[in-house]
Amino acid sequence: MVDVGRHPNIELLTLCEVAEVKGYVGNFEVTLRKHPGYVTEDCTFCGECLERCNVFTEDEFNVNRALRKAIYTPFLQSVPRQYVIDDKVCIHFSEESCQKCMEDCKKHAIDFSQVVEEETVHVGAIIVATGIKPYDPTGLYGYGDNRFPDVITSMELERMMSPEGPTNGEIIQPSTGKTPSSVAFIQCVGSRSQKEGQLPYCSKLCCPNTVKNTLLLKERFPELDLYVFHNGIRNSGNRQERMFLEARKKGVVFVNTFPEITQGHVLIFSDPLLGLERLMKKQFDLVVLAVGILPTAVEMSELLGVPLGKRGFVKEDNQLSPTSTPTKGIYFAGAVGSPADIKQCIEQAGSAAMQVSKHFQRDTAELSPIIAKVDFEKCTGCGKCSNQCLFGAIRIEDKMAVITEAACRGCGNCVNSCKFGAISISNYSDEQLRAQLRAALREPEDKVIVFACHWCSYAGADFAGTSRLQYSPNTRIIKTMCSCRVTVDLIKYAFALGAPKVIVSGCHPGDCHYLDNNMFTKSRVMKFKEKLSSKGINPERLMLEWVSASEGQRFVEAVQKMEQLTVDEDEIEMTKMIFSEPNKRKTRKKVQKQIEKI
Amino acid sequence: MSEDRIGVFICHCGTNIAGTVNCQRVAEAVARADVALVREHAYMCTGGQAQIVSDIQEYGLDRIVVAACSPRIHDETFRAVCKEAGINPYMMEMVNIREQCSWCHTYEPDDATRKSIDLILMGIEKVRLNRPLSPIEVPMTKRALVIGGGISGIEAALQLGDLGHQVTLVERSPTIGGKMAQLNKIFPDQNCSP
Repeated sequence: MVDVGRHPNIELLTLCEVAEVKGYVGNFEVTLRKHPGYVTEDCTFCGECLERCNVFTEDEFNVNRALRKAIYTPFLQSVPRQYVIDDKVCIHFSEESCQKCMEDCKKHAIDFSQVVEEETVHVGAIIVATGIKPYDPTGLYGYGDNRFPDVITSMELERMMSPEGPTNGEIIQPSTGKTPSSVAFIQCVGSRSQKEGQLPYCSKLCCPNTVKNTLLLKERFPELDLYVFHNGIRNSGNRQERMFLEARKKGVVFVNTFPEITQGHVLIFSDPLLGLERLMKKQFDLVVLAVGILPTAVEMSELLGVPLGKRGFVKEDNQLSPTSTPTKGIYFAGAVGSPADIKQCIEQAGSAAMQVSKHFQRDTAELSPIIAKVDFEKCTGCGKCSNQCLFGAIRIEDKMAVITEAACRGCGNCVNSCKFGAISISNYSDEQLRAQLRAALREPEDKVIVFACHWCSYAGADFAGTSRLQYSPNTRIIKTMCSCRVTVDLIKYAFALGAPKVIVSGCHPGDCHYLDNNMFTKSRVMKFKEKLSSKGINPERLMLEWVSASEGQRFVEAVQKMEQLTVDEDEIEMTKMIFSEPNKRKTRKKVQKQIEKI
Repeated sequence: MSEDRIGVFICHCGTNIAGTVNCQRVAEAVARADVALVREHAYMCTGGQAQIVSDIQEYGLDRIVVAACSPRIHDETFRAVCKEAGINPYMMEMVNIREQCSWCHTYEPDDATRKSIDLILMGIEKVRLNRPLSPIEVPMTKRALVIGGGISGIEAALQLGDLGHQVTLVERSPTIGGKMAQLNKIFPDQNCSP
C-alpha cells in the first residue's frame, strides 16, 4: 500500500470517483470528480486536530461497531497518510461556528474552502477493480434483532480480532463484554441460496476465512468450544486443506447442517447422520455469520458500457481472456469478476496489467474496420443517420454524410434511418445479409431465422452449445453486430422468401453494447408486429427476445417456444405475396419522388 | 462460374464436430456450390492452419470460409492465417458448426449435417460479397486508469508503474486498501493484511 503512495509513476487520487467515460481504446476521456477532504498535503499526521474534535459518528471501517470523529483517518496505515474531514458530520458545515481543528493545526493544513472539483484525464486503457461488498444478513439468524446481540458477521469478527479494532483485539461477547467460552460459525449466510434476495452462487472466501478464524481463536483460547455449521466445506485453494485438517485436529467441530436460533443464542440443529430424528440444542456465547459477497459493479458497468453477468459480476470477453471485457482497452481484476481471494486478486491484477502493457508497447491501437460506409452517389445529406447515431460518429459536410471512423462502432443503427440505401456496414451489408437469408431459406419448410447480435445473443447461443443444451435443428442463425442492424426490410425479405418464423434477439435493455440501440430494435420490431397483425398475419411469427451471453437456457427456451407455433402453408404463401418484390417497387417509387423533391 | 476463388475449410474438431456431423457429406454438398476448394481437417485451429496457408497459395484462393467453432473464439486466429497467406484478413468468414450445431443437436446427426451444409452455404454467399478491410489506426495514450484502490487495483497500478507506465489510481474512500485492509489476518498463512 505504501509503495503506491510513493511510486513515481502512480498518481493516487483518493476521495475521487469516475463521473463520465467517453472514447475508445487508446483515447478514453475520463471525467473524475474529486471530493474535498479539507486537509491539504501539508498535514503531518500529528493528531492534534483529532484531539480537539468533539464530533462523533459511526466508524464504517469498523463496521459501525465503534465511533470515530468528524476529522479522521480510516486506520493508522491509511494511504495517503493524512486526515480528512467528513463534511456530512462536521459541524463546521452546519453551524458554521466550529473551527477547533483548524485553530490547533500548526501546519495550517486545514482548508474549509475546498469544493468538489472535476478533472478530465486522457488514458489509453482502463482497469476496473471496484471489488465487492459483504452481504447484509439482517433478518437471518437473528442478526440485527435486539434479542440476539451476540450474533455478528464475519467482518465484525475481523475487526474485533484486529489489534486496531474497536476492542483492541479482545474477543468479547458484545452483550456482556466477557470473553466467550463457546463460538459458533454459520457458513453460507446469503450464499448458495435460491431464496429471493440471496446469492445463488458460492462466495468462495467464507469457508477458508472461517477456518482461518477458528485457527486464530484456538491459538489464543485452546479450550474454546468451537462449532462450524456448514453446507459442505469448500477449501480447495492453496494450502487450505491443510488449514482445515489442522482446525479439526485442534478440536473444531464441523457439523454439516444449518441450525436455527432461539432465545438465549441457543442453536437447534439436527444430527447430520440421524437427521431430524435427533435434534440437538446448544447454547453459544457468540455466533458468527460467514456472510457472502456481492460485486460492486453496477455503477461502473453503466459508466463504461461493460456488460455484467446474471449474478452482477463483470463478464469476461471469453474464457481465453479472463480479465478482458468485450470492450477493447477495458480490463478488470479481482473479485468484481467473480469471488476471489487475495492471491487470485493479485494474479488477475497481473494479468490485467499485462494486457494494458501490451497496448502500451505500440504507439497506435487498431480498431475494428467493421464500421459504417457511405455511398456518396446515393447520399442526399438529409442528416437522418446523423441524428440517429448515439455515438456522434456521423456529421454532415457539404450535403454528404461523413463518418468519423474512430468514433463509429459499427452497430448499424444508421442503416435503418437511411431511406436511400446510402449507408451500410462493412461486411454486414444488406446484400450480404440478404444473400445469407437466400441460402438459409432455399428450402424454407419449418425454418426459424434467428438474427443474433454479436455480443450477447450470439454468445448466448454459443453458451447453449457449450452447455450441451439441445434444441431444434431448424434454426439458422445470422450474426449482426447489434440487433439494431436488423432492418424491417430485412425481416420483410425473410418473410418474402418464405420464412415461417423469425427471431430478432439482442442484449437485455440496459446491457446493449451500443448504448441504448436495442431500444430502437424494440420499437421497430414491435411496430412491425402490429403491421403484421393488421395484414392478417400472425404477429407471433416474429419474436423479439433479449438473450444475454450467459443465458443459453433462455436462448433455447425462445427457440422452443417458436417451435411450438404452427404456421400453415397458406399463411406462408400469403406472407410471401405481401412482402415480395413488386410491393417493394412501390416504395422505391415513393423514395424516388422524395429524392426529386429534395 | 463466379470470378472469386473461395476455399471452404471444414474442421472436425476431433469428434466435437465430426462425432455428430457427417463432415464428408457436408464437404460433398458444399463442393457443388461454385467454390474452388473444399478441405477437411481434424483440427483446423492447430494443424489446419498450415494447410490453409498452403492451400490459399497453391490454389490461388482469394477468400475463405472456415466452418469450425464459434467466431468468438477463433476469428482472430483465422484472420491471422489469412494475413500470413497473403490475403486480406477480412476476406474470411467463420461458420459456427460446433457451438451452434454439433453440440446442440447431438442426437439428430442427419439434421445437424443438413444444418451444417446450410450454414456453410450461408457463409459462402456472405464471403462472396466481403470487401478487403484494414483496421483503423488510432493513437495510443500511454497512461492507464485503474478504478478502485483495493488489493486488485493496488497490484494492477504497481505492476504497470513498475513497467514504467504512467498510472492514475482512483479510489472513492479516503484511503486505499479496500476490503483487504479491514481483514485482521489473511489465509492461508495468517499474514497481516495492510
